Amino acid sequence: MIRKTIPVLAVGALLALSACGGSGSKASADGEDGVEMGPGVTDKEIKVGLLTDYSGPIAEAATSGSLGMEVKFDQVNADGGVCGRKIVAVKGDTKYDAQQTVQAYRGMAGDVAMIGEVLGSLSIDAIKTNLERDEMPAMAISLNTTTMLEPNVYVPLPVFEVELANGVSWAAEEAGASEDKPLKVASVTGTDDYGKAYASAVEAAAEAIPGVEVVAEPTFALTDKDFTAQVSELEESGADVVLLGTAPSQTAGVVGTAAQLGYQPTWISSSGAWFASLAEPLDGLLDKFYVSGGYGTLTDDVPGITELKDALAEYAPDAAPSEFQVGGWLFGEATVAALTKACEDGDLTRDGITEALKDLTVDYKGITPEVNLGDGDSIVSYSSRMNSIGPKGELVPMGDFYASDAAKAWGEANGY
Amino acid sequence: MTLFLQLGFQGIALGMVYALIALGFVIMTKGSNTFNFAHGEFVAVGAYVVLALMPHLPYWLAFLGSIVVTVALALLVEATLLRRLLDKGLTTVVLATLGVSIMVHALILMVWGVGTKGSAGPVGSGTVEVGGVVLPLSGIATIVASVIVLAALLVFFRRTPYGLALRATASHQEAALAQGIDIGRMFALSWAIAAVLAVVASIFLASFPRVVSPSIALVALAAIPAVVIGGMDSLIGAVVGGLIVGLIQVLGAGYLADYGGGKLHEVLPYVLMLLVLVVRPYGLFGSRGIERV
Amino acid sequence: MTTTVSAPPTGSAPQPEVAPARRRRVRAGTIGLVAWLLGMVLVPWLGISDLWMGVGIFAIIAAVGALGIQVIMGFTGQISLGHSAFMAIGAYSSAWLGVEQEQPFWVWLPAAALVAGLAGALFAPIAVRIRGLYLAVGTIALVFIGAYVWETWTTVSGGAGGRLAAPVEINGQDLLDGYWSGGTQVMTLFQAWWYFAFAVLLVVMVLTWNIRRSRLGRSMLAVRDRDLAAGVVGIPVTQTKTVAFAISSAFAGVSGALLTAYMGYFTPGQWSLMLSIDFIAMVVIGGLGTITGAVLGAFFFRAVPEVVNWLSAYLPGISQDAKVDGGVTAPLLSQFVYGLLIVVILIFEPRGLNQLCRKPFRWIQQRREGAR
Repeated sequence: MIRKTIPVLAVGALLALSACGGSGSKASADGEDGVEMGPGVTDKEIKVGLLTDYSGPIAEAATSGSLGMEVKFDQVNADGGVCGRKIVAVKGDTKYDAQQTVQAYRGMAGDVAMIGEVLGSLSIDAIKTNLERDEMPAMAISLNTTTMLEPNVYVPLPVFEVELANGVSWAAEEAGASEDKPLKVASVTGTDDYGKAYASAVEAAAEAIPGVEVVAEPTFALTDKDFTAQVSELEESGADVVLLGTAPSQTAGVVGTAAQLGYQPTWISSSGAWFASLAEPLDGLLDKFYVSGGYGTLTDDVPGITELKDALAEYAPDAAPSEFQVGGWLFGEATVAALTKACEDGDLTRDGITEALKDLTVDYKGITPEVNLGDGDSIVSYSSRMNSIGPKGELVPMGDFYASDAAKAWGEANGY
Repeated sequence: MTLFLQLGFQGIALGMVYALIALGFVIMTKGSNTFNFAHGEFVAVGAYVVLALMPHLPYWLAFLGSIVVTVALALLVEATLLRRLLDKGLTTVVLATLGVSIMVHALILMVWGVGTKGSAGPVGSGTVEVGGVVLPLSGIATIVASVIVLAALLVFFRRTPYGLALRATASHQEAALAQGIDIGRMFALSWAIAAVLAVVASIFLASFPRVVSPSIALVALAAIPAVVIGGMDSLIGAVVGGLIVGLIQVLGAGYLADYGGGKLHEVLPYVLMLLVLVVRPYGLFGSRGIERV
Repeated sequence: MTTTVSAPPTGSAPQPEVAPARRRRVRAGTIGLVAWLLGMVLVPWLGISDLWMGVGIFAIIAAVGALGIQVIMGFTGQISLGHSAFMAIGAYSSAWLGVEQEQPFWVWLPAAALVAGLAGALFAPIAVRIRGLYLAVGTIALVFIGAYVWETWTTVSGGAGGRLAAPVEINGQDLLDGYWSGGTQVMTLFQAWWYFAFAVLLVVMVLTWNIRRSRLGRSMLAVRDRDLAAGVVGIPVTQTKTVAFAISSAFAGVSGALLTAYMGYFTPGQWSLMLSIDFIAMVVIGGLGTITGAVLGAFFFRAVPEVVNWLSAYLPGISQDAKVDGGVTAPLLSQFVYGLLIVVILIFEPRGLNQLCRKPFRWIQQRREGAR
């Protein structure tokens, strides 16, 4: 039965093929205001894709970030939108799973002007060849150089490597390190490529500062539940400062275990290694814990944060405050800036938006210094700021944003 | 040497947590001849309930409250699902427990959210130092509690009528039935005991510096190699298996970090599990009876 | 060993009923098959949205893998949770051949089957020693050992960051760009891929169908129903199991190669235990031991989460906003329903969707026969 059916089928398929040609080619059209419009853009709205993890392993940061972005769009829309068009968020749940990400991306790709955020290295890897093929402009929330270098992918905030390198520089200054008074630093990172990139940024920064020396670089596997081995290695090396390129649950493990073993260095983490909820289990152990953050916090008194808080109060009154909302908001700012510039240039096609992203200057209204996106493969900003930890786990800024020579030296050495 | 002892102690403490989880698997396998993939989620429920009750109640009451909730959940699953499906074949039952596991996971996220929470351990971050080796109180508590639980289990199985009935059911269902043992009640009993073990394991799995997060159930599944290495119907096997896995993970992180991409300690328990199966297809301490196809 | 013999055949699949009016049922089956084939050919031209076409393509690819599980589990009665590891083997060998060696798909696709099948045959000597629960749980090791190998063997896998997949090129055109003729796009990527994946699925279906009807298939069923008894009546149990493992793994390899080729890029992280579990769920829910069951199950499981996601927009009390602190959101609800459906179907129709779908058919038939 089946054997007979196949030739019939093949013929049928061929007929169908020749009969229905030409669907699917999506030509651009001009809007009423003369702006050229590509997929996802009409006279009334601009659709922006958000690909993030709403229910998987990194949903905590992801959902807060998404919310920050959505309230940014709500705020802009209430003021009339981008050149009269409302920004509509098309949300896709990646579950932080590669196949799910591809499904969600392909489902929305024909229907959005750009991807406003795709969160996490795994999801970015899963769709990066698709982004290139579709010439889809995208902004990625995985603040590291590996992501930044992907084609069509923009990272509009300082990467973790910058935060860590600035952290090394700050520690050296605090300790008054010099050739005569050396400072021992160490890093703790994952065994994967991202971990290696973080460790090498710490190395490069140490190299650039006289008197700073890297003495240990223990790594962990993602499923590790006990960090005695890593902490023992740190303690053995006598490191005074430990840079953490970890995820939050590993931060708790490393810092907690160190306290138990009586080892108390200065801890400096990137902004991705800290959750406010860690303040409770690590209570009393955070006196010498600092977060090098590439952008500001909800406690800042700057126009950008005021706007964010107003928007949250207006559009998401029930949401508990979270620093990831700030990150999402900034991605929202960058998206709006790109769309606004593209519209001013009269071209809301993907090409137009890609063009607009080049050398785009985004003013974050004081949340972090203004950035220039450059060609998409360069560090947008070398600025970060040191924070200590407040009683509820909130970040408490200790001074201003600064761009260290060590971070710049690392960037130059790598051609970023 | 100090490093070795230090790592060894931590490995034993972690291994005991695995042992408690593995014991739960084993008791359910013995009592109802199934493998409950939802056990990891039972562990998660245990931890979340303790954490939720801790601010309002003394710790031991929070612990008891969690036992009540988790046992109730296990019995509910057992009564509504397992008993109906038992005659439908092993595959069906195992898959049903996977379905339950997905449901419970979604429920946990709906109730408590996707966020990382605090620690839920019975003792804080304190330590005792013995001859240069630092013994965290959480580790000591884990070991002491597991030994107590183990002893209680042994007494239960050897000395009490229920325990004997459970053993009889495990070794031969028809014969037990002929002796007038209520098999249904025995199934329920084995699931209830497993749930209690899940709660005990959960508070140590979430002991300082570890924290409660949605991934805690996956951590619990790391006990699977322990179950297989020891043998699926052996209580002693579960403990030995748990200790082996715990020690491999912690000692491996210390001594094998420079080899094989630094992740050897992550995969070695699974390699060992496969090797054990090649040599002894029913685990180190398991009996052949469980081989039923 | 006596316990083994006297134990109830708990591992065996629920047997489909032998229908009283066999000839009539065959005819009904034929009508169903033709309708399905026609439907599958027409679907790409019905103006279905990209999202749903994507879901459908993933479902077709999953059905190939599910048929593999059907061979080892439905026919032979051996539970294997190592399926995703064999999919990975197929994926990496196809990617190496298709990208590094620049071979066309008609080389790398069969090669993926061959390599994964060989790997399955190599694992079989271990697997045949292990029975029942031990086999189910023990095969989990393959998934984790595989994950370690892919992440560490970076020259092949590209490390945690992943690597390019083999492209499917027909007439020098990458199907991921759609199919073009004379400057116009004849088919979108979804339409082109739908047909390509469907063609592969048909081949695998025919193969499975032939296996089922052959002497080998009958040996498999005998092994499934009474392992030891099969040995006694002269069926080579070990050999049958080994071949079953090899075939099952080969199908997994094809599915993995297709999956990654459609994705375009893939990472070691995706060959997870959950993927293996999905396949088991597909065949059990679809209907153990039948080809229809595997295909039905694959479509069901790929579609359900999206359907619930889509439905939840119309349900009261479901938050469409992102929420961190708990609450019923669409993605969580869809996860919950996924689990619930597995359980409900197992309780009410443990023989799977296959039987469930036939119920109305049979009901009509009975009415007609009753009227006569």
